[in-house]
Amino acid sequence: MRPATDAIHVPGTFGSAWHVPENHLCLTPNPQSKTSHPYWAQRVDRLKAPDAPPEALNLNVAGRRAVGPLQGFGQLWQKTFCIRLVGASVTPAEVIAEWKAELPRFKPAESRFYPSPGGIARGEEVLINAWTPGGPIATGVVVLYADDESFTLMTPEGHPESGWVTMSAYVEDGVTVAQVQGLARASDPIYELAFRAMGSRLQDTIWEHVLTELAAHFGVKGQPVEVDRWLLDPKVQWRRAGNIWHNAQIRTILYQLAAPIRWVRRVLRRD
Amino acid sequence: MRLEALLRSQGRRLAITGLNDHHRRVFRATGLDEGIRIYETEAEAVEALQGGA
Repeated sequence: MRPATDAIHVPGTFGSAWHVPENHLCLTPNPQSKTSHPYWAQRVDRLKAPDAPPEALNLNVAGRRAVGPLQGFGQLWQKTFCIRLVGASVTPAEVIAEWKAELPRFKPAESRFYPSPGGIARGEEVLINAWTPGGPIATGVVVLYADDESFTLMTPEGHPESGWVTMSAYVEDGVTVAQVQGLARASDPIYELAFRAMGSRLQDTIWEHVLTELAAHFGVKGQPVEVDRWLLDPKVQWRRAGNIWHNAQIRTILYQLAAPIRWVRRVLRRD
Repeated sequence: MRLEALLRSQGRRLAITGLNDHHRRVFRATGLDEGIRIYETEAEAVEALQGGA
């Protein structure tokens, strides 16, 4: 029997028409919807090596694909963190401009962010060197989208998460609010285990730190970070278990363990 | 992503039709085009999905 087809109209980004047959759903965007070409990065098959200072460990970004939640392994979470900038006379655009310019300043002490010379602009990359309970990790993100009031980072293969995180600012009840919203899965089974054990809480701490530092930058202190966690898909994607091949933490640890071998090779080449 | 996860959990599939150039670029840039079926027209999508494609 052929499934029945119904049509409904819903508002949203695409201003769409939806057909809802029994076994599938067909979404049709409104052709009148606004476009925003200048803000989106071009798709690149493989990321380039980001420019980084000599002290940075520039690993696990060059040659990787940028991946979203569909390419990840673990449960799909949407996490939203926001802080109200009470008493600060700043517009959302001013908040985002400072956030882009000073991104490395707001990070936790155990992490280093190295934005490429183009800064936080579409297609640019940010190299990340961090120390976690599981050891060191060198990875990065690519700027998927950037406008005056928001920007979105996308992860490369091997990053602990596979997905997007959007920093934005908006006005609510006369107060400017800064927000971080992540939509991601753990990239592979090892990361998924780590997130379930303690990584998820650690990640929450990182974003709470970033927002608290951002607020302090605008002279706001004592405001709580509100957190909303939403498990969108409790299932893991076993077909993505092979992502473990690109695991940036394992590769970073192996790279560091192999430092003596690289040193011997350099010495032999000199001779 | 919410829709895709919801439908997949129900054993259903999501297809998208009528994307203009901008929407196609967004789907490519975000990697959504690797997991969500995209068709030119609704008729094509319905036919393909009903045919088990």
